[in-house]
Amino acid sequence: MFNNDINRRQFILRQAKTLLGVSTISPLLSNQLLANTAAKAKAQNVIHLFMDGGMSHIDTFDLKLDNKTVQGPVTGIKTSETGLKITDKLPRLAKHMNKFAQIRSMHHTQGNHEPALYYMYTGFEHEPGVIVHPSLGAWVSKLGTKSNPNLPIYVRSGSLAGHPANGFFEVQDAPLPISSPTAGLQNSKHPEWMTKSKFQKNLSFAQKMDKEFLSNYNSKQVRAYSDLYKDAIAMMSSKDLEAFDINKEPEKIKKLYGDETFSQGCLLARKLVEKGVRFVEVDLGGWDSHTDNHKQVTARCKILDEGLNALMTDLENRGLLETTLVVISTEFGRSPNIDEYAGRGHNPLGFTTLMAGAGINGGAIYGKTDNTGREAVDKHTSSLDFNATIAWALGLDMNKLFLPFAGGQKFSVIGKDTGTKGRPITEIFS
Amino acid sequence: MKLCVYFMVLFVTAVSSYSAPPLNFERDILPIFKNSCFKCHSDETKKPKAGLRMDLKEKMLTHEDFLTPGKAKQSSLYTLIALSKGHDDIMPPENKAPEVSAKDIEKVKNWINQGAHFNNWEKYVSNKVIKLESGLSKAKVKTDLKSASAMIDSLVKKNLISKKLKANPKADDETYLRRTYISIIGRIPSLEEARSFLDSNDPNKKIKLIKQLQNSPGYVSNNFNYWANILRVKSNQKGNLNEVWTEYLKSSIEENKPYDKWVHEMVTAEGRLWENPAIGFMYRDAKNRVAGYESLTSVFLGTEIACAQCHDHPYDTITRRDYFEMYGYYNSSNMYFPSKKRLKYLDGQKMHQRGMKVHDNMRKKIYDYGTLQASKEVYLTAFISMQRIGDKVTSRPDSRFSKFPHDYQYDDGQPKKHLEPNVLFGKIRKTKEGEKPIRVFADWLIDPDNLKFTYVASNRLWHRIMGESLLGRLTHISQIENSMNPELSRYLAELFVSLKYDQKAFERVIFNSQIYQRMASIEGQTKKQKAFTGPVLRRLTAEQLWDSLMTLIDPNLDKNIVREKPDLSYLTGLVNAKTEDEYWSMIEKGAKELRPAHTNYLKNKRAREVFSGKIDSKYFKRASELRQPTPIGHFMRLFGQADRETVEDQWINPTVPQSLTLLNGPLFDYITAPNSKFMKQLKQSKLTEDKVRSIFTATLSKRPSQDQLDESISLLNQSSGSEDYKSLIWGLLNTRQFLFIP
Repeated sequence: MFNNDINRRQFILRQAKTLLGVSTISPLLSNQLLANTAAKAKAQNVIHLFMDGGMSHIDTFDLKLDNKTVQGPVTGIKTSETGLKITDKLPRLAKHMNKFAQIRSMHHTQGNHEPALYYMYTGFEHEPGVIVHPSLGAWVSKLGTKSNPNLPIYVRSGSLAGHPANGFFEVQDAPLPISSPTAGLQNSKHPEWMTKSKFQKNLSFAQKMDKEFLSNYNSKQVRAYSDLYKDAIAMMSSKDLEAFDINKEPEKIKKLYGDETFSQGCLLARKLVEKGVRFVEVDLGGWDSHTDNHKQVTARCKILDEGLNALMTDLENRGLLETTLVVISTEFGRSPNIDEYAGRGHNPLGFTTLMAGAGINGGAIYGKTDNTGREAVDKHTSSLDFNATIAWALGLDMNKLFLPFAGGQKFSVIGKDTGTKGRPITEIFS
Repeated sequence: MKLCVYFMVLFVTAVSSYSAPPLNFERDILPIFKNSCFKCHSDETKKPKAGLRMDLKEKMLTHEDFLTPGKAKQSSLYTLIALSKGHDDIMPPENKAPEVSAKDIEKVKNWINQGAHFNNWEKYVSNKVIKLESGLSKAKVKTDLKSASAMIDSLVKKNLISKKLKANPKADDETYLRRTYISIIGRIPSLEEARSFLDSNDPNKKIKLIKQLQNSPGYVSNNFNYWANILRVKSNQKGNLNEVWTEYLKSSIEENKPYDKWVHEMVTAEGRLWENPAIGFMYRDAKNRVAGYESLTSVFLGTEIACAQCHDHPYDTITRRDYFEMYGYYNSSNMYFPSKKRLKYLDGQKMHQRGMKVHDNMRKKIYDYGTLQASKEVYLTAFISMQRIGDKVTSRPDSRFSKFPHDYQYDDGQPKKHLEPNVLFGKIRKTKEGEKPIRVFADWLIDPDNLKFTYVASNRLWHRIMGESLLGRLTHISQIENSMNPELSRYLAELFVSLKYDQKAFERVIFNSQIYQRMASIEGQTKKQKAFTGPVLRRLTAEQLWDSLMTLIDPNLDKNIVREKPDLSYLTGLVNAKTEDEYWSMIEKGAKELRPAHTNYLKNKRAREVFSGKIDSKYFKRASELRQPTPIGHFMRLFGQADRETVEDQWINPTVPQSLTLLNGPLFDYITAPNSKFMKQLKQSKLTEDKVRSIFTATLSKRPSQDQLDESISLLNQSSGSEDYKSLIWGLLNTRQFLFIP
């Protein structure tokens, strides 16, 4: 099925090129064409919510209600999807479950946070000191086209610490990091004491003063700084800067989202995709429940429930859910056994991720874990499969290869040239 | 600390083959080779049998009929191990090496049929032990500055000649000055400092500068920032009591405590935080022991072992057993949490309720205490002591608790059974009766015969000054023969031992070398050519950038450093309180009399977020004197200050918000306010040209070239009549060179 899709897409694209001539298609149009020919998927944008620390699949979406020892005190509640139960700690989200597909057979073998996080963001295993792979958002920046020339393609609500960012791509493909969603993009206006023309004059003075240094040290890192200066200056004259300002939202919307940083990140994400930012990441940390698992997961769920309910409601009301893929990911799940600190350990062998919107077949369950939740037992899904699914939904060219270093390996968004490729899970789209 | 805890990788078991996840060569196949094949088919033997090397990808792919990706039946790798038992040709030959189990044969078959992917694996290099032939010479090397620096230069030169390379040209005084200030004290020189060096004709001015900087308070700041990243120092842990550890680290740096003694002291420390702040190192990971153990191993032994916590290290020869053997030593230093029975009144819920009640009562009777703050202090004191009062690091007198993990999966041990502690490399002496295992471990750790300890540290200090490591990753160093310059690596280690691990003296030798005084190479070049032609160009760290801007705001920044130590003596008596009432009266007394000093200490460091352009000049201090790390949104966090969650998690990626902050951010106004120290200093020069020179020297630590001078004056003349020095300063602070260590 997948091969057919690709062939059909390539065929139509080729047709389009012949009939229309490539140069006459606007980037946006060719992109839409790609997405539409994929027939089932129609994502323009992605809101990528990352549950940092390792969200317990057992205590949230992949309940083991028949196995009391594993399940512990969590009870299931009915959801808008007939026959589907999720934790009672996500009551508001339960009403949206008919829009979500679940992948319950996520599987890898990275048991530590950093490599697992890296693996989930990039699709590749971390090889410190050898290569840094780009995060999925950087691939979108590289392969996709801007929907709005005034805004970046990839924004992240959160810091860049421990984030693979642009990897081996240029620094322009890295996410623009927003430290605090309420503060938005700071310092985007030039200082009051300078007029616009003086600002330009002073900048060109700075460039002249740097000439000697730049010719002495023509390094990638120095050039990257110059490039981002250019981006920053361009951003200052963007007409759509207010997309970064959530404070001007109507009270009703603010109330819907509430006060948590995560929720506000979701609101920022909604504003940004509405204005054409194509990939927005929002983190919700604190899932590393080594002590008092149930208490900790309950507290996290409360925040997730509020933020995600608001986001889904808001996207739907605005008709944005049609073209926005909402993704919930995490580095791994938690282990079935409860240890001496009432905690659960890390479990990458089987865990759950979710997707909604943009043609997703709501209620679909893909793969499963065994009756303890320890290990995926069917339809094992790697991070490359997961990323391929998102890339496919966006209609990106998944086979385009890049060569980070002369003489080295080539990479596409779905894998290394010579390695195993990711396979988009088209089954979860309707 | 976010490291793996209690997670067990279950190797692929019986799942139907079509849905089996792809096999990974290093994880699934290499261990089989190591176990059954390497004895005859790797560099473990001088003459590999049949010329076949199974530790090299290339050889495996080119050896005739050995490996046909996708076709197991056409690969002798599979067909020979799959022969029936007793067959003449079966591999490995009987009794030569452990036979390959049926399960493993199946794995090899599946792996070949899946395409025999090696991913990035090229060759196998054992990293367990630094080979003995690369041991250090026992003879002491000359430690006088001149001979030692000359030795470094001769070894660097030898390497350059062998690679047909030449060192970069010598850096000018201006470059040297800026680089040395930033490297030693973590900030640019002030106008006055720069002038006094550049104007001096003293032929010994460089070595004098090094010594002067090493003995200044800025040295402590810069080194503290460096070690705070490695040791993951956070202020907001342990109810802010952690700050005594912060101050301990600073005073250890100030005293220039020998590196080996310092490490020994922290690893073996016992007691409560306010009695012995050195326990901060062990206390940090009191509730995530393995995380502490794993960082100790990567920081002081340059070996990452986290994977072996759950299974035999896939890319190395460290087994899960090795992991838990050494953990036996680490874990003999233990956290003591008071038993609820002995200290009944420490019941959390009850304490909280009573604390709230006291707090409420006091709010009603504010006059009793004078201020609302006082009642808050009581509550805070009670709250902190409730959580922390009993915490104490102790060491067990024996290794009774050294055990196999509860889910140990290999044949050489049983879950939860006693495991005799041992170390990862070399030999450790037997623990004598009455001796504490953690001490024996610490003695082994810092013994010069434990080569890795010295190699890691000397390599780290070289990396820090020169910008690139000789031995690959700092937390997982390579074999000496794979060093960029093996002779230099060996010499640096010998020198550090001979200098008795005196960090300042060791660094002084490198600072005094000719290679340090060359123009910088750009990043990547040194690694590529595997030789140092000069130090490596680097971006200033977040702390160095902040401290440099602070120097522009206040040239006397370092003179204002007040190194107070938080006084926690109010907690001392509480431990011995016999009754609840006695406890509370002590709390009230402590809160009234002693706690305010602690609160003030914390207040002085509380750098706030700088969102919405609001910035509090009260916290214009050295990064080392602010909260560790600063809160999210602070200038330093934008520029990559570490989270301090994992070892050295600082980052240097350029971002749009960074540029926007430098272009439009609020700090600039403080530098150029009419009454700022910088502007006042400028007013002292009469001539425009002199002012321009001063601005260049203060910001970029150099004098302008004639061209630059002309350009600057022309910029000033463009401003409607009045001289607009602000534009000039703004321009120079928005150059790339301001951000980099040349």
